[in-house]
Amino acid sequence: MFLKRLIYAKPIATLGFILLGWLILPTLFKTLLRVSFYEFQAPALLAPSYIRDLQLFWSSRLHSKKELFQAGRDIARLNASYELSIQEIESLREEIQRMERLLDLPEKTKYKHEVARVVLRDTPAWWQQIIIRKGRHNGIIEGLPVIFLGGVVGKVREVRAYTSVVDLVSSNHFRIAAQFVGDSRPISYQGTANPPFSDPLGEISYIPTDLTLQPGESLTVVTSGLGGVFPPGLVIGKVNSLTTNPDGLFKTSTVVLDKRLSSISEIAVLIPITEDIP
Amino acid sequence: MRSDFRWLIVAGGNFILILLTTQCNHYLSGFSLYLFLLGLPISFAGLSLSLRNGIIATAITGLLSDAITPLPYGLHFVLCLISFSILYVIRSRIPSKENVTIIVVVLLTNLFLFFAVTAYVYLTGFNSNLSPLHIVSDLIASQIILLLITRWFFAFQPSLLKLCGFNPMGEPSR
Repeated sequence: MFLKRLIYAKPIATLGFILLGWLILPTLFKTLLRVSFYEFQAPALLAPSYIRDLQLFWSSRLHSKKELFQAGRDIARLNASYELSIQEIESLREEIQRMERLLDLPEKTKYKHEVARVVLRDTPAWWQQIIIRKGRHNGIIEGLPVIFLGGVVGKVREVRAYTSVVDLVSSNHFRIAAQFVGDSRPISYQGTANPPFSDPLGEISYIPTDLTLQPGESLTVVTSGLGGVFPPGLVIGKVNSLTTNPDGLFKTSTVVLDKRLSSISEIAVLIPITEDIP
Repeated sequence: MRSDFRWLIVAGGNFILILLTTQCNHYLSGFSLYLFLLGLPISFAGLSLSLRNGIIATAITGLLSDAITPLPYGLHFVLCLISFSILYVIRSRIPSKENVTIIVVVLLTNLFLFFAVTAYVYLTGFNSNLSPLHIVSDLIASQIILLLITRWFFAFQPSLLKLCGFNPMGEPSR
């Protein structure tokens, strides 16, 4: 009887021993273990991403010559319009620089765009993150802003050798100073709970009470540039209604983020250009 | 005497399951759905492996899961080991050869792990703004998928062991 009980106690005793060992294990060792297990998985996580690229390549090769000709013509049209836009942007940039010099304003941070494919989208109710196919070897560091054609994507949280983990703009951990288009007063943005089968959401607070919104109207929330991480003017999302706080001092609202964020496949990391980085 | 590396084979099989799940989650993110299937590999280890092999395979599975989540390192590791130990202690009292029993055990283990992670996330303030609807839909989706793939996984792991030259039925119980 005693021996039988002892056999039953063995797994519990082993568990206790392991848990105790884990508790007293130095943090450095745990960090090393985490990095090792992550890097061990990284090639297996990256492989499907490369396979998807290959799949896209081969499926593109199946298009007929007529389709390719039409696509080429469309791209040529787009290129022409982009060339014009670039010229306009360049002239506007020169004008801004001239005015900044006249007013003796401090120089704005310039960014280099590091375009990366999304390896993995990981969006349970508990957290919202993506893993991208660029890492330390591509000059990415923690805390860098990440954008896509729809606006803000998030912020780099962890950097590994060839991959990085990005906290999404819809994540509860993502906070940023924002503003409405046409109103320079700062408001606070934070990711919020995201219900299933719906567009990703965020929350804004500290909205001045004099701001109103008619039914059917919407306001665009953009980055304010305060804090220095994100450049100003990047689109965060849209607000369709405003609610006054119980204390009546400010208003709050839910921000509807770009629906493409849930199926995002390519992003750009903004790397600040300093004297050291050409 | 030949070394018993069953834990390595089982951990490899678990790693394949983790990778398949991450790929499913990648495509399901468009619907804001997420599959949590950690209960399946832990149940297999708890019901089929010896204490030594089971603990090593479970620990590796927990650490692999921990590495790609933003939660404190070791949370899945600890929860998986607790689940394994409980299953290991009670396995002589449950008819672990019957499919229905296996499925029930897998579902309950997954439920325990899912709620433990949710409770940790909510109670520690890691994310106190959880969407109950998202939690429920993730849980339902995960349990339905487990219902469908449990039999496959419980056939896949012994096949993998057999392929590597181990007798899947020859594992000593204690």
